Amino acid sequence: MRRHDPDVTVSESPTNILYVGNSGVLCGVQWEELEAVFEPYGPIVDICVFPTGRPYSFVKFESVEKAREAFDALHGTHPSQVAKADVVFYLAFITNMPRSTASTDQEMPPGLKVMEEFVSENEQQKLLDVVATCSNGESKGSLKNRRVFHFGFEFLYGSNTVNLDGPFPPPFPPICEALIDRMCQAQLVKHRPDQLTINVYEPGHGIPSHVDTHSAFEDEIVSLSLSSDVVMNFRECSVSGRSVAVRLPARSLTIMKGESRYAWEHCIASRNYDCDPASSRLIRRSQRVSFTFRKVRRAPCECEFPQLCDRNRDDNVKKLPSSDTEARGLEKTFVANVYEEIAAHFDETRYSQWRAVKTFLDELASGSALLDVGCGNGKYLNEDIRLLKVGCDMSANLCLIASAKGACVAQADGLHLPFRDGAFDALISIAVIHHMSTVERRLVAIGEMLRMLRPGGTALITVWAFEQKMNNEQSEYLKWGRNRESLVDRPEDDASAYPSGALLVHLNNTAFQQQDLLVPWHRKAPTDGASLANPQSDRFLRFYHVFKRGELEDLCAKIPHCRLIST
Amino acid sequence: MKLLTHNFLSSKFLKGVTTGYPLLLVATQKEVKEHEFNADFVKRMLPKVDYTACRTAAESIGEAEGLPTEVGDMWEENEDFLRKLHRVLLEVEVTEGELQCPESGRKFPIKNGIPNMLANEDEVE
Repeated sequence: MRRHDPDVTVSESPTNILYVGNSGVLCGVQWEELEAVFEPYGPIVDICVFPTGRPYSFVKFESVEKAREAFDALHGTHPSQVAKADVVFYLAFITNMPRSTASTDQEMPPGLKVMEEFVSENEQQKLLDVVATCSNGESKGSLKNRRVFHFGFEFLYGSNTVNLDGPFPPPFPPICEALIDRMCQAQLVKHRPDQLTINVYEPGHGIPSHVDTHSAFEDEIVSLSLSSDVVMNFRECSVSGRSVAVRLPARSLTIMKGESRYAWEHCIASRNYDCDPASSRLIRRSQRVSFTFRKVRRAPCECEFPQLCDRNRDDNVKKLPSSDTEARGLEKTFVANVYEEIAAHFDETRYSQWRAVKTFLDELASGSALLDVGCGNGKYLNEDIRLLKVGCDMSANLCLIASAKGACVAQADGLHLPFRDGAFDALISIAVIHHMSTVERRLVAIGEMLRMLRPGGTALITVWAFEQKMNNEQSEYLKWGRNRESLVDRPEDDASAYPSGALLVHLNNTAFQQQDLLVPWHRKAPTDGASLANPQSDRFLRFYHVFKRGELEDLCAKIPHCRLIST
Repeated sequence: MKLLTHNFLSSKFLKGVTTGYPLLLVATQKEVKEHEFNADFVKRMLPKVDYTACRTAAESIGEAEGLPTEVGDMWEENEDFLRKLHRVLLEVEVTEGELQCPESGRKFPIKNGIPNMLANEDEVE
């Protein structure tokens, strides 16, 4: 504590503020639990918590007496309200809460503004009355995590666009027109909004991370928060890692424009409590209502972030190929060129061997000749005196990296392998054929691989799976995303609503929306910050065809003399 | 490119080529990188290697000295032979040069030690 919060002093005699050791999220204690532990000892004024970094919290009581009762009862014990076993609280009296705990890098996303007290208590009540009327009426929509009402235009959750053709929901309630007048007069918005979405969030509800579709709405997205404070998390799309938590107080107006609107995702975590990013105070959520005003876009989006734009800026590329020539072009742009570009960063991130591959290699007979098709940085071509290993990859830069590690490699196309027939006893191709954009090409690729094997040879082929749940358990891929952002699932999207053949840009570590998509690779920003001037340059899109269960088996079944050993 | 890699390469994937093996090798630049000798590994390797192709390739870049035209009967016991094979397959590297298809004459460049075996769409089936 002395290191993180040097302004906090420990007191020899009882005070009304407790230091609570071993109570942080780090120790597995939930904020709900923390409040439940101390609530029985009397009115609490404040709780100070830390989402990361510190294993303790502070609890401020109304009186010294209450704090002392809590101390006597809980010091050195495992509170029954804490689910995680072995957590023992250590308490101490302190004289003051930390003054400021805001971390220094909490710079707001460019273009984001939060205006406190934009509406009065009285106006807030009138707006909530509007919602109450909606709830009784017929214009009602319900999503998994929240209730929604639309005005002006209907918002389509399948495609994240607006229904321009009707039927049209009711016009704006009069009180909203007055608010919009106020926004326009204060020059908060350039375009007068014509679409309103009211969301009703119960405590524990959130909204998945998203960027409002560029093509659907004009620049400014304006949202009024009512009834409850909440913390919204922003994450920059192009340079991975930078995320900013922003408190949206009740009765405040949030304006997202420019970079914050086009190039940052925003979300609200599904939980009952938030931690105020400025003061670290625990905020208990109550029902929150948001009024989001947007202007429907009629002309193509011309934002400054073409790589993040859903509008196809390069007319024929981001579609599923309809011929082999198109397929080659697509794979050149969205696979080969990307790996060439990201090779060095890819190498830094690809070092551990998958257990299944290692087992396969370990079980090969000593003296086997192995071919690794799509060997990447050569992580499976490491020296093994039992095996004779050769690899190939489409990317010259990846070949150079593998070769520098001593591997035998050639630059080659998986559809035309440049090795003699039947020269290998075994073959691996790890996470490669999902980069091929037509079923014919995937089939040819497997055929080529098998041409390299002697009769009786074995191959291990892995691809990304469309289904990311097994026995109702989320895959590591999804879990990793959840831990990173503590997000809810991206819920309501319905792949069938997307225009046919359009390749969606996938949101990493969420469920796949369709089988053919573009998956971003975020290259780490160089430490000198040079790339920050041009943030989009650090995001690369790779084409993936994610395989449904049984699909790879079906492909193999079409190849003569190929027997499936296991899947 | 190690000669071990060369030993597996073929241009059969080219349109109209039936075997495409072995590829002719020209080196404009080569180097020798020392690598720890392991007799067992060389013994395991040899059955997978086309020895004649290996010797021809070594000859074409001036590295065949002391390599017999044929693998002798008692080769497994012949440490001198195993060491020579080790050197030519694993230590000698062609850093700049080219490979050539013995049937069609198509050339494949070797740059920075990497043979580029990519072909244009009209050259393949």
